[in-house]
Amino acid sequence: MEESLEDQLKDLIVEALALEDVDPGEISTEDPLFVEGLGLDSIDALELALAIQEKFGVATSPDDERNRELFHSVKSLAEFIRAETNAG
Amino acid sequence: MPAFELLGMHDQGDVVAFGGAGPKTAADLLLDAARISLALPPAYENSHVLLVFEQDRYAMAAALLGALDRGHAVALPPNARRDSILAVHGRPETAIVIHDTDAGFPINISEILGEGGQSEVDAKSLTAPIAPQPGVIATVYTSGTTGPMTAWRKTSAELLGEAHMLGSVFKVGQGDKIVGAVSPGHIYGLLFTILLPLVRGAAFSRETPYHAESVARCVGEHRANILVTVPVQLRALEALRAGSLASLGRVFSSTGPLPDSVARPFNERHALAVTEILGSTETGGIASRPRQAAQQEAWRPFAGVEVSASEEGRLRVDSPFVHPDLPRPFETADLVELNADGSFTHLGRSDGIVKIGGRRVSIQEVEDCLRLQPGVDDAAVAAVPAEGARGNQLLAAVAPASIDVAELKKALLEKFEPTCLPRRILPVDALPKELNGKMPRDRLLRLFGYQADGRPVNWTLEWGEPAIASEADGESLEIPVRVPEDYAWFEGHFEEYAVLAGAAQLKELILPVVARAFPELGAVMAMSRIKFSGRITPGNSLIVRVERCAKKGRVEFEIRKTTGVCARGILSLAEGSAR
Repeated sequence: MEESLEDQLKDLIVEALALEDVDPGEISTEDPLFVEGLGLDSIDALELALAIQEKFGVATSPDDERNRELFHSVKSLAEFIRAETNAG
Repeated sequence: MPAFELLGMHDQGDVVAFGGAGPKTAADLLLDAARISLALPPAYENSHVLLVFEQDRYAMAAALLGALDRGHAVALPPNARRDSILAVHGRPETAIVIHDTDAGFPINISEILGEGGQSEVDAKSLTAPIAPQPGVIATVYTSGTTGPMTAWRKTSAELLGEAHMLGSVFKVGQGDKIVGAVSPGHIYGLLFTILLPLVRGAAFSRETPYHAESVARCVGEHRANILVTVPVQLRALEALRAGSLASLGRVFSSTGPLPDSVARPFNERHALAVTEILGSTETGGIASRPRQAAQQEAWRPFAGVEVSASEEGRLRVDSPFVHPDLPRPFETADLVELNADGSFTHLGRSDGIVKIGGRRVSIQEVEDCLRLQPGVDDAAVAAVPAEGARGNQLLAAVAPASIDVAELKKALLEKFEPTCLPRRILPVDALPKELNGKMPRDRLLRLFGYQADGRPVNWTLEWGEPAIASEADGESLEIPVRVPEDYAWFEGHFEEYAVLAGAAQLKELILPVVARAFPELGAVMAMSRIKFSGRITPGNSLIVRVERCAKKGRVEFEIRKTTGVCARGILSLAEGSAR
């Protein structure tokens, strides 16, 4: 069975951000990724955006407000990537 | 000695600012500066005009010239947060605020320069060049991780002198177009994106693009040839397609170390070498170095900057850009090694300050804060280099082991920016302190799998391609392998004389090759005729050979290097069972 997009994203988060203490399976699909949830910061956001662009060929918008929504959780990122790849 | 003048190298019709809001000429700037000057209250001793500009660098330049013309100095807050602005505003020396933010307080620059604010300036005109008063022309505020603000006074000789020097060193002049991707509210942005172009006849971007795409658009639309940026942004710019920064000829980076992992891919993608600048608010510019692919050059001091090192290796700086009231030479917290040719190598900071994503973070402050949290008995923090935009990361060990890390992070977030938090917090029963109570850095790093120099512990042998040979009485396999200099098994074995222990040879070198050659064999049942006859030391290139004996389950092994055999013996392994 092929790994779900959500699971691929969790692997990518751990790998791209070198989160040595985090197991991809521990990351919640719905919980916030930043600050109060997984505790990622603005530099992680940049690294993650670059990794997503590289892996999925999807560029995030430079619009600040929308980025906050996109990067909210694994779920929101997966929805965004699905929408972009289907549209493209 | 150059005159400390602004707009001395522009013709009236020369463009000084470009951008989405349209170009502005030197004549426009003089007119707008005159309007601002007229709108300001009269100067008094040490009076400052507080500048808070987030949108339009041109408007900030006009406000700066207007304030100087009226006899004021300007004040730059550490950031555009409301509490910082109010703190600077509350100082008696602050005469008035001019800003272009959404905040409701006066004076918004649009009230002076906007449509409705067309005041008559016939009675007043400014002519180029503008020579500011000789004393303090700007006060730049900095803030630490959390600490109080510090005010740094800068004279016209320091600031304009440095702008002149930078212009002549980097040959910036008429026709050059500078895109400022960093805020002009900090000393680096002020110098490189306003003062340098105003002093040298060049033009600057009105906007401050932040995202990679906006930077590329601004550079491309205006065919700009100089970009002023920071390491975090260079990391993002690397992802742009090749050719999207084609008009650029020079890229400046400052405010924090530029890791090789950022400089190199950027250089490869865009065929642009980054010019890295070392300086501080206290000392002004100190040195620069080009960052080409795969090389870390030494820092070369700027013209007029004299560098030396204290006994402890701290960098000492004397230059016209150090404030006249500071002791000379001024000793910084940078640890350096001076080279015979006058250049120097930067070895880090002596005050426990690290830059994380361009932000100054005090290791001590984070450690103190951790120790103060309820339930925490002890804490220790260390910084190690990190890949990518981060540059450095903090690691923290806290005792006791029962502590709730999530709660601890929440408490830290109330005091620190998210980037200042330790990347990893490890709860332990007790910190691995020495008997005298000291917490050596290498012991702390070891908890996290890092070596004393901050590199991750290396558990990886460098295996080569195997060679298989069938022999009459069985089968054999030979694999070349190199033991890296920093291989983890060498650490702590003998301080001065690192050798690979026999147990490590068996576990890491022999058994993996046996498993590969004879997957049908199981666990080791017995060993015989084992002899470790030659030392294996860091960097050795070896050949590991295993050979199945005729007798059931027996494997003969040998490790050799060019100078002879290091180890040999016979293993008896369980037959037919998976390991």
